[in-house]
Amino acid sequence: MDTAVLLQFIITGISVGCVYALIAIGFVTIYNITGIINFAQGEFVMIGAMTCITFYQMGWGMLPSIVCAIIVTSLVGGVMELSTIRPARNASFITLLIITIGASTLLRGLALWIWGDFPKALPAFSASKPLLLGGAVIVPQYLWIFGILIIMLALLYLFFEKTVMGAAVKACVINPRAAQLMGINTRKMSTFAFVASAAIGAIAGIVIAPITSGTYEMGVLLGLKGFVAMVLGGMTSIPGAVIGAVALGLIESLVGGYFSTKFSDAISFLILIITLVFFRNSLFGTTAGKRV
Amino acid sequence: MRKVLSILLIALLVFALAACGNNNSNNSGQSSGGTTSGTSGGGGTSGGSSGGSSGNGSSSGSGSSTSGEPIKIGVISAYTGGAVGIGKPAGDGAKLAAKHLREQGLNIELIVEDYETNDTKAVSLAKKLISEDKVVALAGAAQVSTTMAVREVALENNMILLANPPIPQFGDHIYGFNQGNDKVTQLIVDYLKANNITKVGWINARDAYGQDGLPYFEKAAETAGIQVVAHEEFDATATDMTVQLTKIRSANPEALIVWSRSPGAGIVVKNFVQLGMNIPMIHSNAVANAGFLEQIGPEGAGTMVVGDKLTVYHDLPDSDLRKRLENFAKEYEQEFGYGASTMSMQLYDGLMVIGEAIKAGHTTTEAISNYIVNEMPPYHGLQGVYDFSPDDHAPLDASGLAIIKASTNAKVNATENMGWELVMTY
Amino acid sequence: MRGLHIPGYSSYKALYFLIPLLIILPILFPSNYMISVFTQIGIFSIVTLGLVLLMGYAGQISLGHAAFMGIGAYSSAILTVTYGMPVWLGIVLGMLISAAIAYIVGSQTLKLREHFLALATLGFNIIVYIVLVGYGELTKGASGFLGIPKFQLFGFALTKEIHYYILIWVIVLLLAIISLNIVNSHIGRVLRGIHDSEIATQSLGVNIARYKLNIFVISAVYASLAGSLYAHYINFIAPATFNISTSIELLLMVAVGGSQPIWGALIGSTIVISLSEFITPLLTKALGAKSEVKIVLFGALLILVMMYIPKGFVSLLKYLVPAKKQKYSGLATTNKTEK
Repeated sequence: MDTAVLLQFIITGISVGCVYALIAIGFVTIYNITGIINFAQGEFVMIGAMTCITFYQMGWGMLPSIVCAIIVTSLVGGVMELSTIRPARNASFITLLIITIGASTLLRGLALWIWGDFPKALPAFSASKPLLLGGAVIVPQYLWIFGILIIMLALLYLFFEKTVMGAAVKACVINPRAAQLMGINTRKMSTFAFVASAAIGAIAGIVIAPITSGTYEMGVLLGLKGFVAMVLGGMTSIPGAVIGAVALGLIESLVGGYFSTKFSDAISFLILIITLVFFRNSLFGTTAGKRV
Repeated sequence: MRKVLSILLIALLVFALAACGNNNSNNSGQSSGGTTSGTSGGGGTSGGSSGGSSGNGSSSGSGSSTSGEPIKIGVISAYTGGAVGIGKPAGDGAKLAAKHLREQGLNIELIVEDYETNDTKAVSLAKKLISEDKVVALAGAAQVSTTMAVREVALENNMILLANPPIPQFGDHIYGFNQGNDKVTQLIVDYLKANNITKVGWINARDAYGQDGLPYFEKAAETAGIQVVAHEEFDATATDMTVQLTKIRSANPEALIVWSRSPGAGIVVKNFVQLGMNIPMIHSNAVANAGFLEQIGPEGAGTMVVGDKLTVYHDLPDSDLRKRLENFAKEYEQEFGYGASTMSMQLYDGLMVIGEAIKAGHTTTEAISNYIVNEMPPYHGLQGVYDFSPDDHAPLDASGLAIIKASTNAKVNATENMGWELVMTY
Repeated sequence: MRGLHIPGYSSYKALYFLIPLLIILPILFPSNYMISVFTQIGIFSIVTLGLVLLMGYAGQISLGHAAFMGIGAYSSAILTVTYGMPVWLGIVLGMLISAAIAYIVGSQTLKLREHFLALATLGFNIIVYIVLVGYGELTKGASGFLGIPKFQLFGFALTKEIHYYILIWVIVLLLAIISLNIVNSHIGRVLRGIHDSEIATQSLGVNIARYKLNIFVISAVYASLAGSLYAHYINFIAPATFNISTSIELLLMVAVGGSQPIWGALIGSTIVISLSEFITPLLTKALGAKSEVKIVLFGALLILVMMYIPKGFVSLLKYLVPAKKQKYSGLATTNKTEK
């Protein structure tokens, strides 16, 4: 086997996996705190990307565009939670799931209305000349993605382990009723979860946009992959989701590279289902929002 | 209780089937006059009971356009969903044509429907346009698969269909306004021959559009002795094609051909540049538009696309055609706010052909169709010359096609800093 | 048990209303187009009648049921066109193939909890879609499969819109009766128990896995039948029709319509398809807005219905029923079927 080619597949797989990881973190955050699977997570990614592009094209600098895009998307997440999730807080799992599907559709429709259908470009954060490593190519933007992923993981770790707020969130996850008895406002936690996930999603969208361009539909497939990564990682663990995401990226890349690009997606999903069936059965725990 | 119900159901079935004949004549009585679409009565009648439809089969007499009534044409195109890049310009081109025809004094009403890149919906819309809106002709429908589905409905109802994508089969009253993928791929082959290229790689999107090109190319390439040394596919909504391009690169082709709509095609270009590949790259005619240029940016300069003379009119020698194209491009941009592309011309030409028939005094589906194949002289449209005949329902020649390339110093910019340059044409 | 009425009992009474309605509709709206819309509602109702059993009674989510429609449609297409089999045989074989696949898939995935099952069915849909697109020699790939023959039985071919309307709706009614029988029987009570609490039901000694699996297979067979009928009705199929977006639309129908009683299946498909066909064009013309309106509307509708009518529109029907139901208060007796 040509090592340069293998190396390229591995690098691509990991790069793409990092993208999925950023999205998966958003899924896990909401799931952990509220027990909801947020099908609109992909749309947070999309809104982050599109608003950033809009601000940038209006002439703002890169940094202000990024910051404002994150703020706008966080607001969207918060509004979504307050208007659709909080009133339906006690509904069944399926109902909440469908509400998020509705939100996802709504946001996509609005995006199409506002931004139209042509893909929009965002320049890369730094020079776009790719680096060469042993015959394989690394695109600098992916290095940014990797770096931001690491920083985000570090920040999340610090948050959960070292801050009072983080401890409160963890308490909600472990036992919402006990947390409430301790004076923690679980409803505010829910809003916080959506706002935080929206921000994380926005960051994911912004770093991906230079590579893929922004379209109103970009959130669909990316959201799906992020969701898969979350499940692979055990649903509740952020490091698990990251590992799952990178694994997914690698599997896609290697299967596509050595087997067939025609069926690589199908095989990735097949592997996913097999993993679910054989390894997950005993691993789901009861988390917030689960009913027995 | 259940027994009673089952008996009821069977009785209902028998009654209903018997009443079918009744229904037919009831319907033909109730459908309002002036329907030129033949059998709007009992339903689709291909082989079957054409006897029942004789009630309103003789529609040539009951024309719908006397001085007061407008002639209605239905357009089915994709304004949302994955095919919007092809569907929107097609629909808008039709709108501009209708506007021009009205300026010429014809009483045309255009009904434009969005099928949302959903085949079932397209079929439903076709039926609606035929039986509710009583159109004289249908136009559309952006994608080959969708148009073939709509074509079934048109055939069943003896309705004209102006087809804009390169469909493989036509039929009674079905007319094509696309050069066809055979001519498009032939142009690519001619370019390759002119540049002494014999080995190419092929990459396409894994959707109906993307899969359509290779069979035609392979046929044309075989005759010219050109070989496809690598073939890869990618999911139309994927965000990274590096794996596919890496595989292709290992096969050492001398050129790469890409068959995909946006945004996939643009991502291929980005990955291509990132990998440092510098063989000639030619895309299909789905991306000969400003959106593509915006997506690939200046790094993508040099990317070639199968386009048309419209997009590079500024590089053409002075001529009547050049003036027409220039006027069309400018008026289109003013009317719709974005640049015209290949698809914009397809239904424009289609509607104009209908316009010719109407000017010759024909206002019903049968009469218009008959005029087109039997009486109309070769029509000089924006895309080229159409010489319809009973044997050839898609006679558009290849003269309008051109290989164009994305450039940062084009004579006319389509985006802020990029435009198209002519490379090769007939 | 609660007082007012037996939970989960679906009434046959709706048939008294439904059958006359079905007869009147094509007389009131005789145009080809309207009848085709009613037929389309019927086809989707076949699928939803199976889905309400799965989701409403057995409590299992499927995000990939369009895949079974696709399996049925393509089986019919391939068997009749490529292998020249008669239409009815193609349909039956399609149902058998779907049942087999559903059995295999279900036996492995129904062990999983809610979200895993959702993901597994989603993955299944994607895999089926990719196979349909990729295995072009058999399925003609993404461009679609043309030339599927019209529905034929005993040499009599159905060619008119009204034929299909009758055929489809007769099948809908028959399947509705079958679903009613399932739901109002002992099996229905067990399913309801599974939905409410798997552990409690299990502790009663019930083999819940077997029940879940059987219902999954039944719902798959319903969907397969619908897919085959669709193929012979439109005479053209493409993989895109059986992709996730259709599965989500089915989910929408079940959610909006409701699953108890099962008539929610018909209500859901009627509402969703009517929205798409009738309301959106009206709004587009009224507001002068473009077609993005529909996507926004669908999303908004879904959210609002789930927030305020979480059991679906069918749950509103109870307001039409007079207080006569009170006679079931107190201890529940054995499930009385209408006689």
